Amino acid sequence: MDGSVVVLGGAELAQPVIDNSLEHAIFLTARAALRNAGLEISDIDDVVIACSDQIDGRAISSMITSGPAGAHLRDEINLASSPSHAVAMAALRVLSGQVKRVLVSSWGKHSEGELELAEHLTTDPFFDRDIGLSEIAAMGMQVSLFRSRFPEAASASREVVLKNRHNASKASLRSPDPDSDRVLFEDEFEKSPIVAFPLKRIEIAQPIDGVCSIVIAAGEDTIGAGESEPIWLRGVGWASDGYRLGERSLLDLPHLRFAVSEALRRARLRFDEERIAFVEVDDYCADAELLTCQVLGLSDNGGLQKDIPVNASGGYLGIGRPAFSGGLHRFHRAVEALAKSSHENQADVAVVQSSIGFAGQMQTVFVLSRT
Amino acid sequence: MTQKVAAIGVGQTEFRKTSEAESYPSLLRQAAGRALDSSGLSIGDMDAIVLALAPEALMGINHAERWCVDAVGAVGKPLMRVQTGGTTGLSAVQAGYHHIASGMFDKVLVVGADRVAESGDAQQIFNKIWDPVFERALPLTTISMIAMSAVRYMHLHGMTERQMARVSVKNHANAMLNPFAHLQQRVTVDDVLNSRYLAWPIKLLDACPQSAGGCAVVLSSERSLDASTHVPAWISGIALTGDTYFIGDRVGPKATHDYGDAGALEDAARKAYLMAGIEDPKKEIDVVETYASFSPVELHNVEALRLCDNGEAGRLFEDGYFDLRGETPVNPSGGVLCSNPISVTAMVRFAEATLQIQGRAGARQVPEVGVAVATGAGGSHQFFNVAVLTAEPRQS
Repeated sequence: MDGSVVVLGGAELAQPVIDNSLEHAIFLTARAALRNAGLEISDIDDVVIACSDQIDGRAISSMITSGPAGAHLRDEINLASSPSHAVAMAALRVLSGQVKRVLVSSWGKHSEGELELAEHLTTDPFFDRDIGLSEIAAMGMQVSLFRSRFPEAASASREVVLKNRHNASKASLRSPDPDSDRVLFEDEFEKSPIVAFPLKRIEIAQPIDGVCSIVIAAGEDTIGAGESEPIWLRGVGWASDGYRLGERSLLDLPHLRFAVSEALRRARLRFDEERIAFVEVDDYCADAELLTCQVLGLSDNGGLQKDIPVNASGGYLGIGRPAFSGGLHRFHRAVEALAKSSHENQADVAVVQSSIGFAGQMQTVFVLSRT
Repeated sequence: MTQKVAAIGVGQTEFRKTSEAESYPSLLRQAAGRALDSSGLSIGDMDAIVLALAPEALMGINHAERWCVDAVGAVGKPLMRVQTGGTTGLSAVQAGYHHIASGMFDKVLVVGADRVAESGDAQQIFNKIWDPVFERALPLTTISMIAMSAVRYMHLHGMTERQMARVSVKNHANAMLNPFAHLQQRVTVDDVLNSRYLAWPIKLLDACPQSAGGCAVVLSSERSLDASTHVPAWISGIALTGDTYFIGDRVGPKATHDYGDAGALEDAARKAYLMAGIEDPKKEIDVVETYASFSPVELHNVEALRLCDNGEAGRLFEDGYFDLRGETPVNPSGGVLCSNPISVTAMVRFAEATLQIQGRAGARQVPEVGVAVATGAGGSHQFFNVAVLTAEPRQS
């Protein structure tokens, strides 16, 4: 990108149930992010949020939630399509040269409502609601297609679940299953029920409550005395696929290909360069990670990618999937991991992919670097 | 360095009752098509799309941005959706502006639609924007919300119901010249005063309709503009300010702004004016499209925009100062009192301001417009945005 954008710091809450009001959880997280970035709220120019009215249970959630997110008497905008779009919008604002620091927040408390009902009401009321189309049903259809084309994916999916849970336990982050820090036993996997053929429950990331905030800023001038090493946002790309599953290319994912090509083009980077240290991708179900890696060219035939670390944070399968705000949590964890990675390692770039909507309808890709 | 941004195309559908309007995707498609036609471009020329969709509870499909990707031509393209309550339409324009001002994109389509009353009466939906424990049972709605502001404004500045009615008369008369307006009926001051109360002092003819319709604008970077075919309306200033949520925090000695005034609008205007180099709004602004869903709102809006001093608006409205052929025309389109497709109402203000700059506003055209201002309002009368459009590019 022409122009420099940095991530100064961030904070998150990600738990099966956040035992606090949503407004207070947002306030605590936003304040922690500012502290980690070495800033006060008075240092912030604009606020960008991403929230879902249906998950929050308010017809215009931002009325009550934008204040705790730091928006009082500030320029504020809600990108209700995706938390990744909120990060992109913050970058656009910084690149416009009109603001220097933007506080980005997103959240979702599945514990306060019926997530599946809210998702079901995203469907076409005339043709799709009565047949019970849901996100899990869409996952099942996509995975069924994937495994019929690439039979190896069925066994590789098990490895993804094992890997991500193991990674999460190594990272010492909580997971929705209190026993998940032990290695998954074969018969536990076998006993897990099928919820949307051929997907087993254990292969689907379980929803948790989440709140996340980060600070996006302009270049070196804005780097303060924060606790976190600033990480550079070098490229971003995003694109959407159509609504109807039957009209989409569910395995080729052309909109993801476009998003990653735009992100890499803006970062002036190729995917096969030795500079890529790790990749964080959406594992809303285990096969989603396999499919995304395949589209990114990291693997083939539905198999597990082994050359570059994928979801070293543990992903959603290891930690739980924050309702709505997951993409911002993934971005924040990638930033933290890159900041902590060894400076002796020449691989200083991370690629972060997130999706939202049925079968990954909307895709966003970021390229981060330490330098 | 900030890339300069201009609006080069506008599309609106005819606003009407929801029961008489086309489907939501169809309204989007129509609005987008008309905006592209007016700019001489096709959807293939668009680098990105921004969708304006305010509380989707009104049109009844959660996260409808996923449902209508195809309708707005966004398959395979970057698409974002903005939701900032009543300010959504202008916030979406602001998002499109930043796409281009960043240097990353050259042509952006900003589009939206609404079918208010699809899911039942809008006020039933608007009751759900309030706190479930303390406020919904009052009941708070947007009508009672503005009624309280109006009462406060009456207390502060002596506004009368007759002055409110004068605003309604002006806007209804202007709407007769706007082929897109939902309500096209002349009313008199007595008609307004004799209409039934909704929440004192707001009467039926002081209030907006529940409209269905779509709106779209095409934004372009300066570097990709075709000077031979495009008539640009330059976005020289654009900003939003959000006030506190709780109305009670906006009265009393600790209030940052008084609920009777539109202090956050004044703040947003100050920022937008600064960007555009506007120093004397009374003299420099030629026309205003301001978001006033109820007639008393227009009075404190013109004061917040510094078109007159606080407390002067009532008398000036009575004197015709803000009439179509007055000193500073306000809402020559008929404004929100005559069309309110909520997701795009603030975008329509921007679209109408664009038409005024371009000289394409037909019978409602104000002569020789060099500077036009569009505003949005939303939330608990807490979010306000302002855009300054100019015939010549300027940015400070």
